[in-house]
Amino acid sequence: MLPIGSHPALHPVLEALAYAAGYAVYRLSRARYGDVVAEPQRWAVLAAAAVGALAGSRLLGLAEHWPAVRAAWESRRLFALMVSPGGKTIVGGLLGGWLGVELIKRASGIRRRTGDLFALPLCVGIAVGRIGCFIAGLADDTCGKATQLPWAVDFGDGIGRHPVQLYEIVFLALLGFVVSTKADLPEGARFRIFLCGYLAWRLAIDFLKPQPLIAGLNLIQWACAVGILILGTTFVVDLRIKRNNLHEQVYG
Amino acid sequence: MSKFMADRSLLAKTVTVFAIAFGIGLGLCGLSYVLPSSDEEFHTDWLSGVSLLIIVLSFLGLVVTLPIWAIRGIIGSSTEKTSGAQTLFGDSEQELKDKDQPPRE
Repeated sequence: MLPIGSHPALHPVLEALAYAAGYAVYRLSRARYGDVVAEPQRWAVLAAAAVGALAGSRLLGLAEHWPAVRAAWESRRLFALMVSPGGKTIVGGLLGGWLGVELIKRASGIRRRTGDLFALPLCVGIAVGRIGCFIAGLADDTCGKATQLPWAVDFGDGIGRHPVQLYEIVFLALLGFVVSTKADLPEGARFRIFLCGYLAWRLAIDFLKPQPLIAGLNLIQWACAVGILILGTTFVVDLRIKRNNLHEQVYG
Repeated sequence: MSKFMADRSLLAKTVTVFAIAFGIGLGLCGLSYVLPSSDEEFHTDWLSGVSLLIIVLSFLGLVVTLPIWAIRGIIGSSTEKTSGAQTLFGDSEQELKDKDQPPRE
């Protein structure tokens, strides 16, 4: 059992590094592969993604602690809770960011798929951020269940746990490799592969986390399931639209 | 200030920075550590004060810039729709297509 301890103060430092690393990879990717939208539109998309991610991350993060939210509401301290530290989740951030981007695209008439440039930066950013979660240990609420495996880690409570954050970093390295393939993929496919892959991963790996369950799944797993369902539905709808367009082109 | 408000890219960048700063300021993913019933084993430190400062400043920044960005976008959208000059938040797709076309000789 590896003694790691819990160091919550380092979480924001690693998170800042995660954003910096993600942005650096995004700049490199944009310079290398170009962009499907112009600079002002890209910044509108980025701003919508950031605001949507913040809202989604915070909402789902607080929803995980529903009793605390209800207590804050009853004591009229909900606003204080909303702007107090702690309580966010990557899955909520991804889904909220996705929704934000779709809304801004609809409002601004952008019809191109803009997510491909985010796929690899998100893999890198989340992986770096997860180092912060790992170092933060028990305080972060993202640690794994108890295990007797030889690579179990002790976050300071004397219990050997699954290092789920490290499992996720390995998975993100593989996902990053997949989404950065040179294969000729349709526009938007890289982002869909990333999002579907990550949500499926969280749906599976969260069984190794000691979170309260609702009908067999925790709240984040339910959010992942809904996200995958929406992704699958939009994929089928897009496929039908493309088939219809092709049919019209061939048969007039 | 007027130039700042007129430049939608700059506004979008500012909103992005404030949103990310707020996210970083929130700190931990979990909430149980900061709740009153949390384990006394953990201690707050100087970074908690910094986090709170970042949260307050970025929240105020978002409260100011987010509505301006949204209103600027809506106004821009309505004026551009009547003039038919541009789409909201930047270049239209036609302009982008034109940019991609090789120069005519």
